[in-house]
Amino acid sequence: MLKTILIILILTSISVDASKYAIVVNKHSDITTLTAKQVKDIFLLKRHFIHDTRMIPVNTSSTNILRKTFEHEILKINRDRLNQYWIKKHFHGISPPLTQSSDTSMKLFIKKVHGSIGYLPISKIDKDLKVVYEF
Amino acid sequence: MSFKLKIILLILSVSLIPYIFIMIYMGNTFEKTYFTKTQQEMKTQLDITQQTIEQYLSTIQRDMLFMSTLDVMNDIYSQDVDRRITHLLINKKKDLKLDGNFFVIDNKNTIIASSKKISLLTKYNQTPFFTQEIYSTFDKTKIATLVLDFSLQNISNLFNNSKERHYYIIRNKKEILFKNDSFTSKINVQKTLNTKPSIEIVLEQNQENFLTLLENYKRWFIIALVLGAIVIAFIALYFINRLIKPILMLSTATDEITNKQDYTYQVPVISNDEIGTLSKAFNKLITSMNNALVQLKIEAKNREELIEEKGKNEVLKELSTKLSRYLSPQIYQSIFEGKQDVTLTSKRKKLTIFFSDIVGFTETTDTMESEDLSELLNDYLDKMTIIALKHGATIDKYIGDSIMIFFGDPYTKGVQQDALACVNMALEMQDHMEILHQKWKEKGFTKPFQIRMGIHTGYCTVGNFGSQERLEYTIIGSSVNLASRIESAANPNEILISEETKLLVDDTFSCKQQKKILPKGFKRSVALYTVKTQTHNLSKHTIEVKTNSQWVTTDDINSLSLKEKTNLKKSLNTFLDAL
Repeated sequence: MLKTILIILILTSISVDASKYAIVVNKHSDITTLTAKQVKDIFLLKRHFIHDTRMIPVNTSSTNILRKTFEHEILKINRDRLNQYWIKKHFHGISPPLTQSSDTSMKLFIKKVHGSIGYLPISKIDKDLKVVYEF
Repeated sequence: MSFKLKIILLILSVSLIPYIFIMIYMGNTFEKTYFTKTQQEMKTQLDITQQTIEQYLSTIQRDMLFMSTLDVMNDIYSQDVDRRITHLLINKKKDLKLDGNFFVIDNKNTIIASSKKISLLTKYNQTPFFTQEIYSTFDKTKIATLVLDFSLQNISNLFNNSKERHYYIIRNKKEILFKNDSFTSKINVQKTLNTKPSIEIVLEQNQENFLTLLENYKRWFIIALVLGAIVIAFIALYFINRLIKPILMLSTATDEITNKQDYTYQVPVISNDEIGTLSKAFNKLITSMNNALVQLKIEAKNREELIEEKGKNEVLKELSTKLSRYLSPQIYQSIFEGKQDVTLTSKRKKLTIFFSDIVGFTETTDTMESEDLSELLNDYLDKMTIIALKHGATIDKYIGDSIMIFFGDPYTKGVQQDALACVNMALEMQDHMEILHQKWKEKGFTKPFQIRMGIHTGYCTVGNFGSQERLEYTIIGSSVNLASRIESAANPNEILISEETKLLVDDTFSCKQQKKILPKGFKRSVALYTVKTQTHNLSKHTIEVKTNSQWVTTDDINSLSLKEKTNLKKSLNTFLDAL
């Protein structure tokens, strides 16, 4: 029992330790920093350009905990409202941002696509990515 | 070639040849129609199949286009392709029930996703059936190509093959797939599909059954053709016989009539058409001919009888001509004209009777040769007869050297005219004797004949006398006897006439009373007169004047008394007036 509690505590501590996330872009991007508001507007497809760069927001899969955290911390909209928002947008011919199934694929995508913007745990960020905001 | 045969050939050629042509044309048309129809049907079927295939292929192309535009294709960037894209390709293959595979190849021709479990990241080196370029959904750059390896089995699954029809495919114009090689005889139609590489779909129809059917059809067709021809021939023959029968009957009738000369033959009229009319006309013609023939026979018979009668008449005429020489022409003519019957009949008539004979004829006959005598006599009688006939005398008979003549029967010009004619005749005979004398003298007859003549006018019984077997047309009566007696009383070269005659001719001829005689058998004496011709024995200037019933003859007109001159002038005026 103690062992179990210990494991839980360890895991919890790990999760607390990994709760640092960052908004990342391609390392060749001329964007250096973004505000939370700018990130929110980009992911809600309200803002398409930063400087002269067309922004391509990339979500992880809807079940991903990272995406939930992102929605909670950055977008600050719960899932139901968000769904309603995208339904409204759909009628205007606007689809939600692209998704990538995993952190790895997110990373690879951002690396390859200029203007793409995503979010990753800071631990998974390498030199090919540029952090523009942390949360 | 007979008429019947000509008609048969004509009608058969008119009916059978078109029939055969039509039947053969129909047969060929059937075959062509079958082929055309079959080909059209096959084309239609092929069109439908083509549409189905093209729809199917179009669906695949649309699906590929749709797939290429999906967001998941952006996974190509993240190289996380084995998840969503592969899943998509596999599901689509399942959905389409494809015999083939989708591949996603990157711009370097490396397979990055596939519906087939193969090692990824190998080079794609096949010829794709369809290709569809994939562009990123955000910046429209080509990120990969969706290709389809497509088995043509997919298309063959759409073929609606049957026992008699089968589809096959020609790929790249040489590679033949799904062909049914069991068809030995076939027709086909083909279409090229709008695909790359090119595919031609061929629809093939097995011809064996049709050829068998065609063979059966041809057999039945030939049987029908022959039967039809036989039926047509029989019908044609039946009608030809009906048509020809009246003509043959006409022909037979003509032969019968020609051979048997039976013009009563009649052709039966069995139709009311032109031939019937012809038969009626023929019958009418034959009837007319028969009537004409009967008439002709009657005519011929009549003619024969006529000829026979004519022959008889000719004989009779010849006989009568011969007989006529024994008869006076008047008697002959009168009898032959039917004016006088050859019966024992007689009538009383006043006639002038003439007798003449040759003086001393009996003595002469003793001194002459009989031939010479006969010649002289015939010459004399011939000339006298000619003169007698010229004056219209009826020569009764020749009695040796005597001639008995009378005037007034059977023809008469009147008693006086008959008497004048008789006296004229006697005078001419007398004149002619001069000529005969001269002629006979030249022939050496030194002793010429001298004739004496007696004339009397009186009633006689004239007619046919004798028996039923033999008749003689003559005159009898006392006048005849008297005339004979007067002749006997005449001197040579003298003409003696009775008073009765003298009274009739006194105005014309110079008569002088000669004597009176009492003829034998007569009770009264008869005064006889000589007749002188008006010119006889007178010179060229001799004038004979009748004064007070007395004739005065003189050569010198001045010797005449005044009365005689007056009478002469009067007579001449009367004469000139008469001229």
